[in-house]
Amino acid sequence: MKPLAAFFSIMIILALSYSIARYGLGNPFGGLGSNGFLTEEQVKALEEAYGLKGDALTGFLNFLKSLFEGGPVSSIYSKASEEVLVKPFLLTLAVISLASLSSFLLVSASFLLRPESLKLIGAFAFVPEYLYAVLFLITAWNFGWPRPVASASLDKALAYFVIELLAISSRLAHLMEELNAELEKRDFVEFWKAVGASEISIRKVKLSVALKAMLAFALTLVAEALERSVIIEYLIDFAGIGYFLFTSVVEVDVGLASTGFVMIAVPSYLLVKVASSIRGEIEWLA
Amino acid sequence: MACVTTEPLLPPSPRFPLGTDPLGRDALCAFLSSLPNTLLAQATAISVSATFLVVVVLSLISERSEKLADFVLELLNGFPRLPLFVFLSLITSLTPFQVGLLIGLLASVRYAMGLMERAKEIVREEFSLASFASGADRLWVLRRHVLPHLWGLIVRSSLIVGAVAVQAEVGLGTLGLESPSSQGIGQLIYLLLTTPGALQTLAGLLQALTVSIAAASLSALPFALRSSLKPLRSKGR
Repeated sequence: MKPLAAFFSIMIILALSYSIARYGLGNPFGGLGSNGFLTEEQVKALEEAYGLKGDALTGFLNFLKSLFEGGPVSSIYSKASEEVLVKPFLLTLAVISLASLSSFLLVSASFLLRPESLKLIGAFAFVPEYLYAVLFLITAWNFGWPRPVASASLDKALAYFVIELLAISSRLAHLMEELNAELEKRDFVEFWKAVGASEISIRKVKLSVALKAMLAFALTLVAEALERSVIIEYLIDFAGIGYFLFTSVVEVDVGLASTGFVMIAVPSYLLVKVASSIRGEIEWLA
Repeated sequence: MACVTTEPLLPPSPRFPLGTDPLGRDALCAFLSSLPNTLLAQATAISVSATFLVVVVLSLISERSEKLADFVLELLNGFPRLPLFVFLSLITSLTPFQVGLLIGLLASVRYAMGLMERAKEIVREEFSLASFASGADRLWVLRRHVLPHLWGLIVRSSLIVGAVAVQAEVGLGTLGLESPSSQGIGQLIYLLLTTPGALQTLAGLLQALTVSIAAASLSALPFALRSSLKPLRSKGR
């Protein structure tokens, strides 16, 4: 990972978040306040967080400072946006990470025990997550599972986990199949075959070689799943970070939306960077 | 395309094969009239991505442009797409064309990085070095040696980017965040989601599944074409 480029990119993300909030809406806070939607205190807090009375640079620095102090105030929840969003973010991350870990184990076990099954699992790699989410949406409205009410309940988390498990494992299986074809040409595989090692032992060696590449890809998939949480969580009504970002945009809660955007964009960007640097270290993949 | 309007959510019949949507339109007609917008997003993303990837390869023409391209790619690799589009909806609603344009650029970065590495390898190969020794300039080597070897990869990567654009466009439509003046097939799901009880009707179920399966099929295009593109990639080498 090139730290300088990463720093610049994160600053661009933060600047985007600030600019859209500050310039895109003119002076929404004053407007909303005059409509009686925001209290005077809320308008003041937002003006302070975005530095609306000063120049753009000072305003941006104010915004950065406010992010370290709990984020701009949410107009819907009347509290610091990070206070509202940290729990949903951790929930989303936990479900996605668990699904990713399970996919990793599932694909590894399938490769060791039944390598031909990878083709079947990998055949679903092109299916977008929201197809699975729409299926759960249909079961929710017609059979009551998961319950069609916005929450972060266990049934919702389980449905979300299944969606991500299906999506991530199919993509990992597809990758493993490609890696297997690539590793088949390598000298060490020929060597183990020549000395009469069993098929499963050779697959174990292949898996240990492919592990780093799989890890890098899994991290990228986690980042992508985090990004797509905006759609999936809305479809299954799971109250995670994506759901909050979407609802805050629809309800024009600028403070919550800009913090939500930063909370999804920065970690997913960093995950991709870490994945790229891991992939860069793999010589045989080059 | 003007669609017949009648009662909302009528069940499927010979006259209305997908039933009617929550607005009372013939759902098949509504689906077919919004499909070109989704295809436009896909086509735009594919063209923008292919152009971008060619430009990235051509940046090897000088050391300065190569360094600049490396830096820009490093900067944009991993840049968020969907959350950005949703957040952007605070100030503007994107059209399918704009989604295709943005995805064409942002989703191509990852492939551009791999392509750049391959292009650099080809520039270092014997046949390229021989061309340099016989007086050829970088542009000639890029045109005659590098690009012909990478066409298959460029086409394949662009098709994948096209699939990402379909997913993003349908996703934004499903959220109801697309520009009202130009909407893709995702808006049908949005209508169903925002109409209480719509998904409990046969017409609603059928429409939701039709849109999802159509989007999945469009996303599957690069996978279906994969086998035919492999020989194209190896042909040059």
